[in-house]
Amino acid sequence: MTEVLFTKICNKKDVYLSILESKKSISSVFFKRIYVFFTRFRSIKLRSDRYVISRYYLIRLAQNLGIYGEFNYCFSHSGKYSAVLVSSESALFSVDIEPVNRRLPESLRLKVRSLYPELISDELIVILILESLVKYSGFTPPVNLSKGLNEICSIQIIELSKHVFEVIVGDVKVYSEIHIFSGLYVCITLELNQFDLSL
Amino acid sequence: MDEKFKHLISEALEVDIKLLDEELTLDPEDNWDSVSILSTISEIDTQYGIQLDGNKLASCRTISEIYTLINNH
Repeated sequence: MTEVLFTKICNKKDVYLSILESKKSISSVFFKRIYVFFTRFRSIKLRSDRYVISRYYLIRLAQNLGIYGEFNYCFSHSGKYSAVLVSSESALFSVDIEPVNRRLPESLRLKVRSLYPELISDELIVILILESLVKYSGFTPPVNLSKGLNEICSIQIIELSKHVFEVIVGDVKVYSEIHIFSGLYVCITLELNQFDLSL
Repeated sequence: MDEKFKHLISEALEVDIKLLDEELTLDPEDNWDSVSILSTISEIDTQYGIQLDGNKLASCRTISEIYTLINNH
């Protein structure tokens, strides 16, 4: 994997974003699998090359940031790209990435539009926000995307600007920011509207 | 598999309908991610009026398994 982006994303907390581009190398996966086996990431998922490579990279990233104890992280994968947020602080965050040119079927676009008629953004951006909520550690996921979009009425999404959204789930308020990088939408959700990211 | 189903899968997975094969593999790390599953749920709901269990759908590994799931519903 090659790092194509590394940046701090929040001006109040030490939360970092790294975007990686994968390049297949079977021999190196073998050694990485052994390395990861002896870490907190030992899991049945070690059968997956993507899991091995991404966790190996995460461990090295944390070490490079001087984090040797516990740390929080969140991954998103799309095609040859992976994005990871990492922090040693008790920050709450999540990330989701999708290709900008990903086409949604008409039925899904109409469903999103019926749920959020007031939003002027692309329907794919709403999907990114909802996917990031599934991974957000601050609450029990308010949406189970495997059930479709039929159970998400309690999530309010308010467009604060062209790429910043206030998202209200019950009595919890979070913020999602959308960026475009290398043909990808990158959606980052934080507990604070304190984004410090310019791609 | 009928044409209606092929069209549905073609839309949901962004695959050319001419290239669809019933043994087309669904790979969670490639063409069968959460957006593809969401798209398929939405298309099946619209085209067949069926709300499939998302977890059962996610466990499908070929498109013929999706077809069977619809027919057994």
